[in-house]
Amino acid sequence: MTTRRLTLEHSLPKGRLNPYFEALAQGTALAECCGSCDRVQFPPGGICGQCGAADLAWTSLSGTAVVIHRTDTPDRAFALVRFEGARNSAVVAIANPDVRSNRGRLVISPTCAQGLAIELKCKGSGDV
Amino acid sequence: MRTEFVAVGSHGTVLSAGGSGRCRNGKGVGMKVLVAGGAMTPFNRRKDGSSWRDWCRDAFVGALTDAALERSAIDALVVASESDFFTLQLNPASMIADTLGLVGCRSCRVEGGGASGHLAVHAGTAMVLSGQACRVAAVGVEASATHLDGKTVGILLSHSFDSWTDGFTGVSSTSIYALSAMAFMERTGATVNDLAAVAVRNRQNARANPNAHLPLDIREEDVAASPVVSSPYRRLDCSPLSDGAACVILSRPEDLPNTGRARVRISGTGAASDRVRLGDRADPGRFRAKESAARRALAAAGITAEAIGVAEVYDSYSGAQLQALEALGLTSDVVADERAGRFASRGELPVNLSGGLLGQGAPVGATGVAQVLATAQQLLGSFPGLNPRWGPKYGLVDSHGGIATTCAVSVLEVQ
Ligand SMILES: [Zn+2]
Repeated sequence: MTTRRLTLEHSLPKGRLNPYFEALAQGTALAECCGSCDRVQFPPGGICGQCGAADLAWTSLSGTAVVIHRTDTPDRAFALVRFEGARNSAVVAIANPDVRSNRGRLVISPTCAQGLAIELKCKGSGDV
Repeated sequence: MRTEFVAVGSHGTVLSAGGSGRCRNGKGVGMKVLVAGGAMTPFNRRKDGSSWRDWCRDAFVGALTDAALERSAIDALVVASESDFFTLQLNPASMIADTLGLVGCRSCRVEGGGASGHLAVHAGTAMVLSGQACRVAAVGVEASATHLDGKTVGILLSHSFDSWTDGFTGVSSTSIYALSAMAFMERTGATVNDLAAVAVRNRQNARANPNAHLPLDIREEDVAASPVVSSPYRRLDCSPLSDGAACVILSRPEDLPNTGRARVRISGTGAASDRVRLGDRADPGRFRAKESAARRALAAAGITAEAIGVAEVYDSYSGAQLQALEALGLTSDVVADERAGRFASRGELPVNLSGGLLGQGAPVGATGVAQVLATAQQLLGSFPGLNPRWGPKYGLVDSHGGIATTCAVSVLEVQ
């Protein structure tokens, strides 16, 4: 038996999705809006999910999201959510898994690196 | 791809076949691709000190024996392996060609996540059909169980989806499958008990299979008592990470020795891909690419889904088996048919008699090759485990990578 240890440190340029990742690092939801059919998609993908057009412009969303389905692991929780204004939905980490709620807001989560995370709104609290 | 047709034009070229005669070109009636033979290693967590190269050799030598062929008869090698991270071997096709004594053969590697092995069989079929090769060995291998620790494997596999979103979020395969299953359950009324029934049945089927990783005598209550991995999925709803290899040899009948034994033909293949991210799909619980792949494979075979008498279906998770059966068109009401026992070993359409990924196991690159092999053997009644009660004429094989993102379907037919 041979044991080999590799340590990999990737540097991954994001190309034309760079504005999305830069906004995410500030806690802002930057979506794509299709120049042909007006579909708004978040997270973005570089091509319209409805008509296939590639002329997409950046547009900011409020960052609020509605939970469609939620799954809990022993130490974390994830959800399929729809961000307000977007036609597609997104898989996100839930930053406060102890809270049970179907509404939340995009947050910067240090544990998620560049992934999407939302903080759920406590029931009875103010706006999200 | 229809695999029996009247070829037109100069479709194929006459090529030399590695020391064993010459390939006929693609002209003529009744061009067929047969599963000439095959073999697999046990799927399990290896503790015997053997290496993935040994497993490839064992599967290949077994397949040659099964096909009654000499090593020199093989003129092409297609390798399926999902990730170099497991083997720490880049360009594995050349290494495996070297290990198998196939130096001089054309060799390549095919990768499509969990569909890798099945796509390798498709690639080999295309090589034979086009006249580029006479006898192709499709070898699938993965060392997913023991070469890396489970946590590292989990991190690597989480990059099977959109690495820039899902991968960075840290969401596991199980959580993504769980979210998809919830959408499916909401639409169809399937319950956790229906999922557990699949988990139990596949493990029970595996008990007759000497190569199975998880032959378990369990009941639904055992599934319900197993630890939650990502709700609603519990440990026993999930397929294992396995080590192992499998090989099938593909050829036209005229390029094979007459052994007097019946063989199985690949009569239709179909493949398709879906949006990678669950949230980009109109219905995250529905496997649309699998629907397309199945339609294409069935159309190529010239049959409808009703003709299928046995199936090996990609059950990476218990719920995924029900989602797959729905997408493959093998049922008009998957929940009702599941509860009525239609997919049981003695049901009308036995599914995963091998145990599937849940029971037989899942060394990723080898999985699809083993699924093709199991279905071919079941059609002949020679699978070393459960076989269909009647001898069906047609069998269906279904595999996918991602979450039904890269889909491959084949229809097999007894000659
Ligand atoms: Zn559009």
